[in-house]
Amino acid sequence: MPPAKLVKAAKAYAVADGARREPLTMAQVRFHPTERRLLAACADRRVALWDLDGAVEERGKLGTAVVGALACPHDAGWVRALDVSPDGKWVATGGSDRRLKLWAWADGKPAATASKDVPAHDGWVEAVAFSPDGKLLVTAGADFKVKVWNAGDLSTLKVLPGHTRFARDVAWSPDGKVFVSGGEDGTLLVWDGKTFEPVRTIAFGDANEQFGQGPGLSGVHRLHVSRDSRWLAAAGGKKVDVYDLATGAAVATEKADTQVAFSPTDDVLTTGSSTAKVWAYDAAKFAPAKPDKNGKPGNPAALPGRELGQTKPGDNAVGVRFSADGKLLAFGKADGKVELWEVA
Amino acid sequence: MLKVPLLPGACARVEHHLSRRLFLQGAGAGALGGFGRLFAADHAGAATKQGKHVILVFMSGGPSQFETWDPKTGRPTGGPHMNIQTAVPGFRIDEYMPNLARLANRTATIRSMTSDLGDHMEGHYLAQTGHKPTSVSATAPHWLSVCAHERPAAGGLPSYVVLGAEQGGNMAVPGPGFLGAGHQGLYCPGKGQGPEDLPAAGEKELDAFRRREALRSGLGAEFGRGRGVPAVGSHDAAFGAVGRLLASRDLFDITKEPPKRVEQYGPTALGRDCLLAARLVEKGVPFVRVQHQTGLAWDKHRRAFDSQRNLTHEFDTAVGALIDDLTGRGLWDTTLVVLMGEFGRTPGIEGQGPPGRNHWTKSWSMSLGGCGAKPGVVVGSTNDDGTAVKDRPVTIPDLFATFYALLGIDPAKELDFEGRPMPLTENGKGKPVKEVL
Repeated sequence: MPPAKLVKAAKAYAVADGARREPLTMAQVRFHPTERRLLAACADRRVALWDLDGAVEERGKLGTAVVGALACPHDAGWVRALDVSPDGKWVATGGSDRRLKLWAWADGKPAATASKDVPAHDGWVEAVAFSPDGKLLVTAGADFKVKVWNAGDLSTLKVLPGHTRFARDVAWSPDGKVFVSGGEDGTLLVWDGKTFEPVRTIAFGDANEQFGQGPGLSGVHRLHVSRDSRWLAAAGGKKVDVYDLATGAAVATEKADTQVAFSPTDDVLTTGSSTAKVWAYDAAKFAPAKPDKNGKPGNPAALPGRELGQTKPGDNAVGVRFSADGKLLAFGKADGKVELWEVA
Repeated sequence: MLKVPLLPGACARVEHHLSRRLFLQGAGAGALGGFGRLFAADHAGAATKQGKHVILVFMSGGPSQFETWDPKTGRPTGGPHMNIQTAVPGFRIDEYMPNLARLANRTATIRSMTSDLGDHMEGHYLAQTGHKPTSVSATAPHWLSVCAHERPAAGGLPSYVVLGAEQGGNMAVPGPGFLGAGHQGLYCPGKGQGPEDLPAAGEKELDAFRRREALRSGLGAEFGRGRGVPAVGSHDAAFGAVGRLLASRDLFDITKEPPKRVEQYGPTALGRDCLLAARLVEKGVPFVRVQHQTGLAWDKHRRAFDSQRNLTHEFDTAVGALIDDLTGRGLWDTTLVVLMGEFGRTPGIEGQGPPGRNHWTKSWSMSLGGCGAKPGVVVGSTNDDGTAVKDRPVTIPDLFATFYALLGIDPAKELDFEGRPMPLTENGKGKPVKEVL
């Protein structure tokens, strides 16, 4: 049975380090795959870490929340990239300090010091993703490059040029056959998961505009691949497009903001940022867009399926992720908290 | 003949009636359309050859000092940006300003600016006139209008050119104020374009313009006779400048620049305008204001750390090329380049939604260089988290006194408005920053 509804969980999660500061916006969230732990890259040089079953506290300005710890320290800047290996034994972090770090997981948390620590990009490390077998890491950098790393020793296996603006995100297909990078240049690059050669380029469009007080964010900010490795979803500042990964054809689109994630267990997809919307999508109805009267590719239809729920406009879920069992959905929020929703 | 309704109390004499109407048509054309926005100083008689120039690049919106000239990398207020070493030992600036880092030994940086108007438009007014909008007894002129008044261009060139606009009218880009329309900057729409609405090129068109101008100036003189209306002379000056512009159109034509020079400035509107500013200065225009984007681009309340680095990068590319270009052409020692906005941004990273910084006047930064400003100087400092000036506070009146001193204009000078003395800065309070002189 596909999920039918979303229910907001009672607990929220926040961190405090005693320093006088503004809310630590939670930007990227990850559930630990084997333990009841939650991690988030936030507006800090460290990663926020919680016990999902932790006790709720009342903490003044923070409000009522499970108050977590800060782990995986970089020397400066913010952690911009975070992933946990599929076996749960390693955490990888990339920072605006341009470094990539690997942390061993033990006793319910990452080690205090990094096992490996290397200069990764000539610019901020924007995203990191473990391959499904855990042997490789791929990073996206503000030097416009994508890099493939040996996850064991963080040696560089290949540097992949191709983006012409900041590379913002990377994701593997669950079958490991390909990985995909997306950038502010408005392109999605599909790479072979074994040879690291380019497979195809997909034009997402709307390269990031940077004019005026509220620059229209677009190009690709987040991307994710569905559980069956068939569909690629990419989010810019204005839309989420779904593509057939085998052909590169756009098969559905929705007005949305900068975040997107698939459920690992169901045909469910969430978007995020100002408003987060969650759909139970109907993949059978995905269809390539028909060409327009001039023979040019037209726009695909709206995402088929049923909306399970959405957050209030301005709620600002700037990080979104499902748990490994698909039963929980985490929204990392601009107000410094992570909210959980049960997918039932 | 059209019947023109009279305002209460207006003179009913027919000749005044007619000439006022025609006069206003001319003035309206100057203010609103036709040859609109085409004003320049007409001090041909008083013009003296002078070799000092100013290029003001205005960073509207309030540039973050943390993400430009005063990074606090590694502090809780520091944000994600790293810093880089500049050409001045011990002086580090934002990582997305590699050109300005390379050129830091030619510029001076003030890290201890402090002001008190946190509203954009009030801040713009203060940061470009040296006066608070609430305390002026007459509309204050833009400081470059003052410069145009004090150091007019020679040879029929415009004294002051404005490249690009900002929303907010005369608060965002203050006009000539009590100095009159003759000291208004000649407006160009930005993106490297010259003045709009010029009559078509050609001798025939120029003759037609001269005939119209003779009629207009005759009507203006008739209107002004016996009235002593200063605006008539002011508008005569403006239209006279239009005539001279028609004879020197290529002044603004950056397509005449070699592609390599164009490329150095980057493929942005700011790049085009900085190139045009350099071209104008090279040709003898003394004062140029360049607007960096419209719409308060540096006002990063939200998503600052998605967009700030793009903005900073295009700024650094264009301004770095400008400094290199001016230096290469031997103009650096006579051209004051000023890089600033109306205030800074908060140490706290809160913003509105996805993180950013709000307005902050207490402690912020700006940079200037050329025209004899002492190179490689870093004036003042802020505390570890950038929440307050630690030493050597510099106010906007101080800053303006410094600009004027570098240009050889006495900062203590008072202008005259209807017999009243008008100091160049608020109550004449500014004192030049000696470290820069």
